[in-house]
Amino acid sequence: MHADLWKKVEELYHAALAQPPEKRVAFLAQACPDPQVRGEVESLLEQNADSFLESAPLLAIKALGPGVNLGKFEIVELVGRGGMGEVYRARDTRLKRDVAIKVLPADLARDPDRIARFEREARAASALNHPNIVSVYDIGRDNDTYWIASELVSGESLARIIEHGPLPPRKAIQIAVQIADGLAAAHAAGIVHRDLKPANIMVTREGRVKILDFGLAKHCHAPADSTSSGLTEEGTVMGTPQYMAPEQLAGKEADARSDLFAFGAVLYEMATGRKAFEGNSQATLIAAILKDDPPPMATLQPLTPPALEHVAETCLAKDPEDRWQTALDVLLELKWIAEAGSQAGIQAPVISRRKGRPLLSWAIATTASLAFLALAVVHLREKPSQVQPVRFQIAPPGKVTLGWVGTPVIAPDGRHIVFSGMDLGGKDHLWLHSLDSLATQALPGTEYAYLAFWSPDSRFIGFFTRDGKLKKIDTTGGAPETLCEAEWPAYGGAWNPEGIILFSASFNYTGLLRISAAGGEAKPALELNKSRKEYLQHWPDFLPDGRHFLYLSISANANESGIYVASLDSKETHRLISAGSNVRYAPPGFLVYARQETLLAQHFDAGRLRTIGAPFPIAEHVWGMPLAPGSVFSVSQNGVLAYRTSGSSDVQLAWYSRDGRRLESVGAPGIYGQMALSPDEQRLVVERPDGAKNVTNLWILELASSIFSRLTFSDETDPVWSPDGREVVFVSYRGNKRRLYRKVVGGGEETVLFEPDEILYPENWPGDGKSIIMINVGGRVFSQLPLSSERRPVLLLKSQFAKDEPHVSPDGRWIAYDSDESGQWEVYVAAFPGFTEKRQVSNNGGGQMLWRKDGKELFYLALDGKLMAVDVKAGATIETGVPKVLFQTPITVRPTDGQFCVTGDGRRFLFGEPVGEAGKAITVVLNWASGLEHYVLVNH
Amino acid sequence: MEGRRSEPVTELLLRWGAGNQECLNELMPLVEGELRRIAHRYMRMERRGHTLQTTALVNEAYLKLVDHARVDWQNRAQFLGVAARLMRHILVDHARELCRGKRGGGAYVLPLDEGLVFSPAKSAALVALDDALNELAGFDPRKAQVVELRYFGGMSVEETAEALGVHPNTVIRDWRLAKVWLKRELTPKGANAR
Repeated sequence: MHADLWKKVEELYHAALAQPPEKRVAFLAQACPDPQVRGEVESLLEQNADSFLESAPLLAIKALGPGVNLGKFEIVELVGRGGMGEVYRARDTRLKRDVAIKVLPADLARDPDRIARFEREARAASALNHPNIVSVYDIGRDNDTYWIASELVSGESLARIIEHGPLPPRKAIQIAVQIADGLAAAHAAGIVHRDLKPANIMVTREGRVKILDFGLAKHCHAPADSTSSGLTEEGTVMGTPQYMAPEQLAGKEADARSDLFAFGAVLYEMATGRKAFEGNSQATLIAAILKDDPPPMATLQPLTPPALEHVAETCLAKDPEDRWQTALDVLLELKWIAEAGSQAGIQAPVISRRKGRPLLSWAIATTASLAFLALAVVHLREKPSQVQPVRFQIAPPGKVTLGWVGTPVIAPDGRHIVFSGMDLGGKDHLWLHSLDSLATQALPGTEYAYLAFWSPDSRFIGFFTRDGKLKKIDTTGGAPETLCEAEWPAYGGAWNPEGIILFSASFNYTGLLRISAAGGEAKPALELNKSRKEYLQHWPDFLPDGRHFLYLSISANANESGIYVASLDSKETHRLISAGSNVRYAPPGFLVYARQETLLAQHFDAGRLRTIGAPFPIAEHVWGMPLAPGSVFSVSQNGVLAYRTSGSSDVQLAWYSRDGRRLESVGAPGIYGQMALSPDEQRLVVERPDGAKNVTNLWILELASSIFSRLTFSDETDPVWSPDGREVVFVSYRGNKRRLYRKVVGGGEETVLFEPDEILYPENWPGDGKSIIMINVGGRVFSQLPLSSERRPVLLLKSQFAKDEPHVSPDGRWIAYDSDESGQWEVYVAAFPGFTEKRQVSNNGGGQMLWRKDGKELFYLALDGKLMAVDVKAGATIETGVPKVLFQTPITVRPTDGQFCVTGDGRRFLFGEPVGEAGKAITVVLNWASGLEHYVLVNH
Repeated sequence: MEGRRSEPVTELLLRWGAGNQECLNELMPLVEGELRRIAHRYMRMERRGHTLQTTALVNEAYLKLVDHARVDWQNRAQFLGVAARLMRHILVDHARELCRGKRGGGAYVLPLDEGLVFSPAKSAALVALDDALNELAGFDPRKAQVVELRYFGGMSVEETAEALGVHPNTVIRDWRLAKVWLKRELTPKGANAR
């Protein structure tokens, strides 16, 4: 292209663009005789580049993967993801052997001292040459990636081996001897492991023991100075303290004897198959390590030689002075036991416990470690750098899983956390966890609660229930009181010191509402701003003055959306942060909000109502909110942050046979929502959330080839196949309207099927093809939408109880569905469409019942995930047999979703196997804001 | 710590703005260093395999390196211009490297992020864009600059106009035509334009 030619092209292009489209051709023909120029202009006019280059390019990260080189090593594949980083198999291109490369988290990369020390230790570890220690070959750095190349061990970790049960004493001793041998060699070289545990001990096929990760644990967990707890480092999440010695937990440096404590715990576990210390939360586990004695090994495994028990016991002494003082002593003792065979009771040679070391006094336990024990109210210090953030996890008790939202909400005084959790009955409750006593209890009367918030005095909890109410409960006792109606789902509530509650609960596009905690009528608090085309106000949160409040505003103009501040006393609002997330104010002056899975904090002047400086991250892997953009987290008034940890929510779709045999995987692991099998069983339609855009799309999976193709492109859910398998009906939220659409699979237009006044979901399209069964929000009403021109829903069944998953029988005479009217979700069958002759089919809870093609069998999921089958005899009336168990699935059952599919012949089942540990735990961080000064660019 | 780092860059920026061209040579490695550092920091904080908006990088580099109290609107525009060019180089270098390698440099499909596939295909697209931009610069350097500033630097129309010393309307027209030309060049012949 010539510059002169180009100038002409440019002029003509813009001139032509100024013409109305239909006149352009004519204009060009007249204005430009030169065919070459005209041709250029025409081809440019054809291009639609409106969205081209409009979003910033994305910097793709050089991920480590096959073919990538680190030094002289070439990566072959990822072999594992441990607590301390990823491990790859790699090839030493010069020596032609396979090695293991461990890539370390680059939190280290910030501190040059730490790096220097890491290198020194790695060098020392590499000098260790012992058959029971994994050899370190090389270390290196690739930009900010620090890596270690070491011997590649093939075998199983001790953790894996112990999963199968306790080891016979002979085997346990053989392994223990090798561990002690390795430890002794390392200690002699002045290297302490610091993180010895079964996961770090490999056993090869030949029975050779190899200890991994010598001397490295310190750099990943321990701090630069000795005054802080050995558990956390600038807020990095600590691994389990399961094998840590009491003095390590109290904040002292680990020494050889701490390794021996861990050794004792490992030995205990090998012999008994049980962990030496247990607790259902980190805090209780730590308390157990500090105070409790493990149950005597002989009571768990009577065949344990007393001498072996004695070794373990001595290693597990609380005071390091009372333990074996060197690994060499332990080694000699164990060798003696091995040689002496099972001659229990024979006097062991007395090995004097050398107490030559100077008396090590217990270091003064820091505030951080005390906080671990006391977990009482923590105050932010004047000099935050002295108090480190302390992070730990809480898991809901036993069989309780975090509810659909499950936000852990900390009380303002930081002593309690309330969250909604679902037990096996499938019903959400509020659970109250005390950070002092570490007890968790269900709050009676809080059924169907899904979202909660505290009163400022930490005494009352306001909460929303699935049946559309806002209630409050006094935590000191008494039944909950209903305050008003609050349509599900509600988008947050806040309670100010004067007892005014702000909340957002309505799909009908009104702004925030207010009501007095003492009762009364709910009134609008803040009008929607018409000039901004604001249509949603969610997640209110009061500022300290109790009059101003924060909220998330969503407008039709996306660039007006964001976190705003307003007040009860005026109509003025202004935007603080342009982020699409819920927000909370945290003293002494932060706004905390989310961006994808990261929580950010932003300095905020609550007096002048403005943000200061740039936001900085304070937590990662935070569970995203299912209700709307944002994350599931809360903060207290005194530096406690709680959030629901995300994790991989991945699921692997797989076919299983009736007898529970796994037949094959389908596709790659991913996050899949509801799914439905096409009538010809060749395809699956499935919901797939798009985390980045916070929408859900529907995809079609060809089962034979495992190829996915996208069916919908905006935001759609709840897919239902037509009986002829040609179409899918679904709900779409595009254009902020909720409509039912129908679409022919494999081409073609989507047509609007129905635009309801209220929220309705399609559930089933019975065989005669003439209508669609729908359900409303909350599941109180089943209705039937005829597909004739008369497009008005007909009421089928309405009751005060929740129900879901209606499926009409193949012959069209019966309908299966589930309901919690008995107090627990059960599956029922009734005549269709009258819902007479109702029969309960399940005998102990169940949901999601599907028909076999011949109508002679029904399948459903019991609440604990067992797949159940029921014989059906349908004639004038219907009779169902006793449910029988087919097999146990790993599904966490939600009665209101479609989580499995069955082929027409009832022989094969398709569902997702959970791959990761998604969203099961709550992470609590004490003093989250301490030590953060240096992150902020103060910019007054 | 932040304050100290911003001194040399602010100085250089001001002197360059005042007409001292040599300062640009000193400035560029400092800015590039910071951009790379920030990029790596973000990458470490996000899960490996994530992608990152370059405009966020450029903005953060600006916040970190420049003392806003001392520079003005014009200086900022100049800084962003430099950053945009550097960002483009970093990105394209990166992309070219990914296109090499026996197995395509490691294709990872991220389960949640449809569309953020870290793959040779996307890197190749970026390399193609770079090549096309170089070609455009051959006969219309200003348009190539507009694209560089807006796309790689994330600058607004006003900022771009400021940086180039032209009217914002000129920027709008340049941007429109440049995009259309680039799109045409980058669309494989015979492919169905969506």
